[in-house]
Amino acid sequence: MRQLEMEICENVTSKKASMEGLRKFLGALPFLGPFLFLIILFYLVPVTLTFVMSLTSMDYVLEWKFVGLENYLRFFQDSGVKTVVLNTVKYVFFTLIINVGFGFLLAIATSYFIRNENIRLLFQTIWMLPRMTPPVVYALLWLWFLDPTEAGMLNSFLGKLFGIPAQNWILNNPMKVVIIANGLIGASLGMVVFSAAIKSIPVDYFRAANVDGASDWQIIRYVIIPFLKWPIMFMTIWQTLSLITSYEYILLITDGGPLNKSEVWSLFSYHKAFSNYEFGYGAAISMVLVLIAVLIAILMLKVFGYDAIMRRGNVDGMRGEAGDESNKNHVAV
Amino acid sequence: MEVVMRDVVKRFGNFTAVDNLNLTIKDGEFVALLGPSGCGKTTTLLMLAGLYKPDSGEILFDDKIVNDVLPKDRNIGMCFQSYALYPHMTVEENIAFPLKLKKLPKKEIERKVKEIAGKFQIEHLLKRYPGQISGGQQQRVALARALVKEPNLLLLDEPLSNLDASLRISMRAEIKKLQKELGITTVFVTHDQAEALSMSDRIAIMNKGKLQDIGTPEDLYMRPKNMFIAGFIGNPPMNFLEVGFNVEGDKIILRRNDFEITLPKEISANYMKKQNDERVILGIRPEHLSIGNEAPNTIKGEIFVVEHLGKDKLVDVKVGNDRIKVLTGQDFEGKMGDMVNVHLDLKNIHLFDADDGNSMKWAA
Repeated sequence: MRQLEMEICENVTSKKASMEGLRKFLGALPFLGPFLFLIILFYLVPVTLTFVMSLTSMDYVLEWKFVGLENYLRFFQDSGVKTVVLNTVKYVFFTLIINVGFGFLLAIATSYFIRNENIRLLFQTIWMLPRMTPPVVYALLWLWFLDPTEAGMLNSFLGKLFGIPAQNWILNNPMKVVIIANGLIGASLGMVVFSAAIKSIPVDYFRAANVDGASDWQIIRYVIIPFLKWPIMFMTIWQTLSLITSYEYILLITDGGPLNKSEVWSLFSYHKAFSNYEFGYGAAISMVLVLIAVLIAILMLKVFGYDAIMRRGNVDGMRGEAGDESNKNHVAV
Repeated sequence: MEVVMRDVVKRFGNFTAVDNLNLTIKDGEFVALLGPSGCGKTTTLLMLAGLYKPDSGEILFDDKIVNDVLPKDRNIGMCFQSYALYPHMTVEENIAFPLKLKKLPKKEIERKVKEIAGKFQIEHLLKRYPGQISGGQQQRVALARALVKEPNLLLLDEPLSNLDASLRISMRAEIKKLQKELGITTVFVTHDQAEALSMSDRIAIMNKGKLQDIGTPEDLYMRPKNMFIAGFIGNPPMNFLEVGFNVEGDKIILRRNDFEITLPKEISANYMKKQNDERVILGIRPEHLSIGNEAPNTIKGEIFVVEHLGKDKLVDVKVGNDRIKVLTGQDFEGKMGDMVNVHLDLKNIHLFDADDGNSMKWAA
């Protein structure tokens, strides 16, 4: 009897709680609404359509002919997939190193070593140029720069200066070209984020380290890097996710060639769908990639902690977090 | 270590932060740099640390010019207002940091950290992070870090301003005692005159980049060289009244339309003479005024407000268009609007030139 009463009681409270939740959600709707609408329209709907399409054998006649999981089976048996996956891993890994590592070096150079505000701004603006340039123009610049004829910029430069014969850079090193071109764009984002983080480290820490006898290298090692732990992690996650699905510069510079040597996952899907008109198969390739990206995102957020990233994205958060703990273990003198 | 600053100038763009500073700090001395914000005291400290380079002039440590010596080679300990403890290092790692940078052997580092932690009673905190200890404990850790490498010069930049009032008072005594025990030359920047008066051997008082005077707390309090020092040192601050200067025989008469004060011969002799009716500033501290019966040589005024300070009462008296503060005993019964006679302790008055603000007392 008593237990029943309690159950009823719990039921009522949980009902109350759900009502409360609903009211809260309705209250938040006007604020979330516009964004929710955009997410649904430009993310959820395309993903659903892609999924449905991946179950069809749609080709250039654009017929929705359902074939079940045939496309997926084909994907896992496709002999070209191995190269594509390897290329993607290589591409993401090395571009990430340039994006984060070189971005960090740029940030140190422009915010720690250059004290003059105007000179710093000049250098940062120069590094921002690739990002401000439309992708097609940026890719064209690389094509001109690496032109295989003797008139190509790099070739004529090396030829006149060192007498090195003209080379076909893109044909010989497609992956390297693609990684460097992409890395230099991404590095500017890292530079901006890390610069802001370095600038927000209170000047007293640098002074204290200076007085305590730290060299520039030791200040970077013991002061700047620990303070930038969370911005670095954030950039790594962010760039990993965006690199996995990016292909536009590769498409423009090498188009995946020669012989699929620089073909990455998302470009592979694009080629299947828009070059071979195998829309169904292309969709299936995309779907697998979406799944992997979601898995990586969840994994990274679990490992690093979503809250922690949001909270510790800045230097102040780091101190705030330490402050929280002090409340728990506080012992006065 | 003796520290000498000779004609030191520091500019930031068009702004002169420190203007022709001459200062000698003796070995083992505790000197406070005191002044309002923006007076150049922190700039001076950072120049001693080597973090700023003077634009001209010389800084000498024990007769050696150190203008071009890097901070890390000056062997100084510094403690910041924010403490600047690295949040990602434990207390132990924080204190060991300067020694680690010096590449001392691990065993020695451990021993020195233990020793200094014992001195500051923070042994039990060594494994904690700065965020997990209280403000007072952080302060001790910061001091321990500054002192662990046995510096020749200790620089303190407003080390107490982030502490609450009662802790601040107990830390004052502690820092002073420690400084005397270690005999380490110390420069201490503060805008709080109570800290400067209570802790330091001598106070260098600065305003607008210029050194106003350097002297013992008593010197600065009893014999201020100018109106800025007179107004800055002492709490509640000194009263200033503009009066006309007249000499009759060997007596000085200070006159304005609402009162007249005659200084006896032996007091008049202490001051430079001015032309009759020239404007001068009469300065007198609230503790050298009292309220009494109607008498000659007093100032008549109306009580504006009475403030209770606990031990004393501070009475605001309106004299003409000016207001003066009088410190009275707790038994003072006057009320707002009462007419009172303010008596002056004539031995303790100060006269200042109305134009340049300098004291008119003959230099002793």
